[in-house]
This record gives sequence, C-alpha cells and structure tokens, in this order.
Amino acid sequence: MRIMVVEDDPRLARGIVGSLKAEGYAVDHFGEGVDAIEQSGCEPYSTIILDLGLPDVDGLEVLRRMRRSGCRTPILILTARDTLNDRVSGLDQGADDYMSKPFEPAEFQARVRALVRRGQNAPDPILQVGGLVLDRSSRVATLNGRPLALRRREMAVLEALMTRAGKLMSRNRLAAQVFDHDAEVSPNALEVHVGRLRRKLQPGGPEINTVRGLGYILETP
Amino acid sequence: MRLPGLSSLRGRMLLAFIGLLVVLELAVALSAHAILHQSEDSGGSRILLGSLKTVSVAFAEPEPMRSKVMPIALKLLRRRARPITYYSVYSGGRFIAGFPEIRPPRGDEPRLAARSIFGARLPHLSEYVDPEDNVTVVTPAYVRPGVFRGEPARIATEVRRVPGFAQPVVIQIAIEEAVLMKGERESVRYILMAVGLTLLVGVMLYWRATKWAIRPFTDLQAQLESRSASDDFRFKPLTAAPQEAATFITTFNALLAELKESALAVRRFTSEASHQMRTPLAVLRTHLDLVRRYGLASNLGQDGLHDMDGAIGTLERLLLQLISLARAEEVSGQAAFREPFDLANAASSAAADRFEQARAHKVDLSFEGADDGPMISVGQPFLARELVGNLIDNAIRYNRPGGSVVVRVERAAESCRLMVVDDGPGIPVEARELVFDRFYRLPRDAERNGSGLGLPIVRALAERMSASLALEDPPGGRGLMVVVEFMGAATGVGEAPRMKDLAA
Repeated sequence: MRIMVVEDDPRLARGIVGSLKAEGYAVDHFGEGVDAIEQSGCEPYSTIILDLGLPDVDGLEVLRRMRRSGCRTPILILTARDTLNDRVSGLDQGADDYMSKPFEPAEFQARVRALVRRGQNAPDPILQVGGLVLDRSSRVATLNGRPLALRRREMAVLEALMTRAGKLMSRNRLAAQVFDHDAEVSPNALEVHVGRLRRKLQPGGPEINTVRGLGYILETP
Repeated sequence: MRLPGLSSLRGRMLLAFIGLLVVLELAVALSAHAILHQSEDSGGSRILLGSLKTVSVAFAEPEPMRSKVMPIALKLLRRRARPITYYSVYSGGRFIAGFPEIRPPRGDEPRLAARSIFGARLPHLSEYVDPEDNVTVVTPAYVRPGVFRGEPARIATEVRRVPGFAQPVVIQIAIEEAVLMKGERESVRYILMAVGLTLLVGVMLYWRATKWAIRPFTDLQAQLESRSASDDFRFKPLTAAPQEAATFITTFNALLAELKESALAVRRFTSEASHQMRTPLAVLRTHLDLVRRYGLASNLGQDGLHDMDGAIGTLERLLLQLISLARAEEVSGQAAFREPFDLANAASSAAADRFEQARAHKVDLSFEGADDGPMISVGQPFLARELVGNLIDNAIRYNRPGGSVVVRVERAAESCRLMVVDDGPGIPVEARELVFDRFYRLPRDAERNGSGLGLPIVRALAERMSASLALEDPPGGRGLMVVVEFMGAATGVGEAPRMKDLAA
C-alpha cells in the first residue's frame, strides 16, 4: 500500500514517514503542494496525508485541485489549525478525515488503516482467501491457523494480492503499490519478494500464479 | 461635606426642586401676608372710624334724644365681630362720659399713616368727613396709635361742636390691637398651612416626575444590564438616548470597540502562538512513539532522538521569545522610554554577551565603536541591549560557519546609528516586511530552530524607544545589514511623547 505525505516541517515529516514505513507502507514525502498535486494522479496511492500550512500553496487549495483533477484517493488532513470552522471546511472541500496536531500516533495509524480500507472498498480489516487470513489491523497473517513470518515487503505484496484475490494484478501496479520513490529497487526485486512469498504459502495455502508478460494472480487451487 | 442623597440623580433633582419651591413659597407667603396685613389694618381703621362716627353722631343729637340714642349706638358697637366697648367724651378737658382713661389728644401725637403698602393714599381713612354733618365737625375723624389699660391699642378721635356744650366736644373710641388684628393671625395660620400642603404635594408629584425625566438614563442602564456576555455590545444609536448622555455613549461605545479590538489581537496572538507549538509537539509524539516501538538503537530511534532534540529547541526558543515579546509590549500605551543612555556601551555589552554563541557557531563576531567616549542617545539601556542582542543572535544563528558579524555604532547629524552587519544568506527584498510579522519564517529556515519572533521583538523594542529600524543590503552586497537609528540626546530628551506616539 502506498501513501503520500504532504508536510512542510521536515522533522515531523521524518517521523510520520518513518512510522508509516515501519508499518509496511510505501511512502512518498512532499514538502510543497505543487509537487504533491502533480504526483497525486501518477501513482496508485491508497491514502494521502495532507498538512494545511504549506509554504507555496495553501493545503485546502491543494485538496481542491487534487479533487478537481479526479483524484479519488482518501485524504487525511493533518494540521495545526483546529477550529471547528477549519475542520468543517476541510471536510467539505473533499477531505475524508481530519486530525489536528499534536496527535496520538496510534490513533493516526488506525485512521490511516481505515482510510486505506475505505479506498479499497473493503471495510472488513480481515482478508481471507481459503485457509489464508490477513488481519490488516494487527498485520498478522495466518495459514490454516499457523502464523506466517513475513517481511515488510512480503506483507505489502500479500495485502495487495489478497485485495484482488482471483483477479489479475498487473506487475506494474503491484510494483507501484509496494515500492515508493525512495526505494532502491533492483530490476527483479518484485520477483524476489513474490517468489519468497509463494514459497511461504506452501503447503496448504493459495497459489500465486504468474501470467506471463501481464502479472500475477492469487488463486485457491 | 457630601450629603448622602447627592449621589442619586433623582435626589439631586429633588433637593434643587425643594430649594426652589421653598424660596417661591416663602415669597408668595410673605407677599400674601403683606397684602393681608394691609387689608386687615386698613379694614380695622375703617371699622374704627365708622364706629366713631356712629357714636359721634349719636352724641351730637340734642337732649333728650341723645340719652335715648347713645345707649343704642354703644350697644350696636358692642355686638360687632370685633366689639368696641371703650369710648370717652370730653369737652374742653372736662370728662363727660365713657372711660376716662381715654384722654383727649394733646394734638401732637402721630397719626396712623393711611397709606397702602404701595404708598398710595387711601381715601376714607383719614380726616373722614361725612358730607351731611360736616357743619359741626371741628376736627374730622382720624386714627392714632395709643395705649389702653397698658395694651397697645388704636384710638379714633373726632372733635365737633355739640349743642349744650360751650367747648368743642372730643369723642374717642379705643380698641386693643390684639382684638382688632385677631383675624390676621388666623389668616396667617391658614397661609402657613397652605404653604406646607403645597410643598408636600409638590415634592410628591415632583418625585414621580423625576422618575419619568430620568427614564432615558434608566433605559440605558437596562441596556447595559441586559447585555449578553458578548464583545459586540454597543449602546443603541443616540436617537433614543438623552442628549446629555451623547458624549458618554459615544465614548463608551468607542471604548468597547477598542477593548474588542485588543481582545481580538490577544486572541489572534495566543492562537498563533499555540499554533506554533502544535507542530513541534506532534514531532515529539511521533518520534517518541517510534523510539518506544523500535528502540533507541534502531535507525528510526536515532533519527527520532535528533528530531526530538530539535523540536524541544524550537519550543524552548518560542517560549523565551514569547516572554521577551510580552515584556517589550507590556509598556504599550505608556510613555515611551526616552532617557539618555550610552549606545556604545549597550551595544558592546550585548556583543560581549553573545561572544560564546558566536564561537560555538564558528562565526567571527566583532564590535566597532566610536573611540571618542560615550555615545549618548535617547532610549533605555536595558531595552537597547536586548534589541542589539536579538539582532546579533539572528546574525549568528542564520549565518554559516566561518561567517562574520560586525556590530558598529556611529554618530550621525542628529542621531546615533547602530548597525549589525552579517555576511550570511541575507533576506530577499520581497520578504523584508514579512519577517516583521509574528511567527513568519523564511521557507529556507524550516530546518533551523526559530520562533519567527526575533525581528518582531526588535521592532517592538525600537518603537518603545522611538528608534527607526531598517533592513538593508550591506556595502559588500552579501548578507544583511540592520540599521537602527536612535535619536541623539540633544534632540529628544525631555520632549514629552506626543499623542500620536502614544496611540501608535
């Protein structure tokens, strides 16, 4: 799952990006609104975290322009402005959620997870394919009741594939959801992660089949 | 002395009214009494004269008629409202009838002036002669004051010739003043009662009238009392209010508007200040959470520690600057600080204070002063030192390692000039007004600790001391030169701050 963070305070941005990455998200950070608007249409972001006090364009204007250009990604406003008026106008301009600084990191993470689910139109935090169960809130995957030890990227690949179980997931789309701009990606990195995950799902789990030239599909045998 | 009732408007109005009423009533009562006295007095004399004529005419009858008529006449007189019982008849000093105490006049006694209170002569009161019997009258009837049996009395006298008497006959009657003027005393009692009654009724009616008269004021009061706890309360437009309260209302409304303005400013300031604290607090929380979850040794933990340190520095500085700003603006509204002080000394002390800081930043800090003794200018030494200190702090903080900061003081024509010159990144021309806005920070400085309050504090301090402040390019072109111009001691000391300065 890939998340965009638009925040001009570098220290706070480092903190937010760090904690989101630690949760397994691919995260892109932008310090200015113009770049964020441009990028919002290019990558398949699951959620956008938006600060309002930006140096170049006001955050609400960024929000408006993103929505005007057809961006349907859930947006969480994260700002120091916390009057009722600010919250109402933020939500009315098209934001999905609003948090004011300072905030509880645990609550922030939970809201991000909720927004990601909403964006996937899958409100149930439990994803299930055959004997494979992924709890997206606690980030624990089990196969027939036995917990799976997954790395961060493997977890991201699994979550992406499970949200589209039984359907083709193109290679590019999967890569865009798993890797952010900062990730140093070798040409076959995705194949490596998919291969490891495929082995961990056997025996007894669903299979990850490769559709040559197109992508992957997660299916129960 | 202050009467307790005088604090009440109605009390004052009532007191003034009572004073006026008493004076008026007194005047009416006195003139009524004068007219009454006049009328009673002349009426009494007229009765006396009429009675005398009755006796006199009766006595003038020849005998035996006289002996028959006299008793009837006397009896008639005794039966009047003010009975007259005392009379005497003398002829040439010989007592003939009546009361011998009423002696005939010697002729030189004063007579009662028969004049009205306005001085006009009253007819029929003095030397009254009945045209029908004026033939035998020697001295026409007149009235004189006298004494009868030890009491003040009024005596009427007529002298006439009577058949059977060789000498002219003196006929007199007397009445005590007390009896004669009994009616006047009664009337005076009625006048006093009327005065008292009108006073009482007047005061009662007036007390009610005052309530009506001051109703516009009580309405104003009601407006005040009914105001909800909002800043927007204003007295209603003046059409409904009394003219006398116009100044009060406009001043009061202006005062309220001013209060609201300053309350708004304070609210804006606190909201800005709290706004500034939110981001560093969020930084602390987020990184603290990361450290707790992934440990200090992890990369996240190490980065977090560094960023938390920075956030605390930001908060610390913000707090100090807020206190400093509050102190600089504390005196707003009071007279500006204008005392002579040595600018060279204040500036060099401030530079000395910052020496360690400059060394820690690897910035070369130097001071260039006038060598010819103190540089007396107008302001306040501690405020000036704080001002210079803030400027040096900025110059060091935003400089680069190896940079330099020069603090210079020099004399100008009528002023003393302080300059803080650095060769750091400078401030773009378009941002040179913005940096005086509270909490404004240049985008490039986001990574540095700072509150955005340093220059606003400098400006507030300069205004306190009526010094001018300008940001300029230094002669070398690189960095920033801040010029603060203090008034020279000769021009500004002792000059009272003008209204314009106080209002600013």
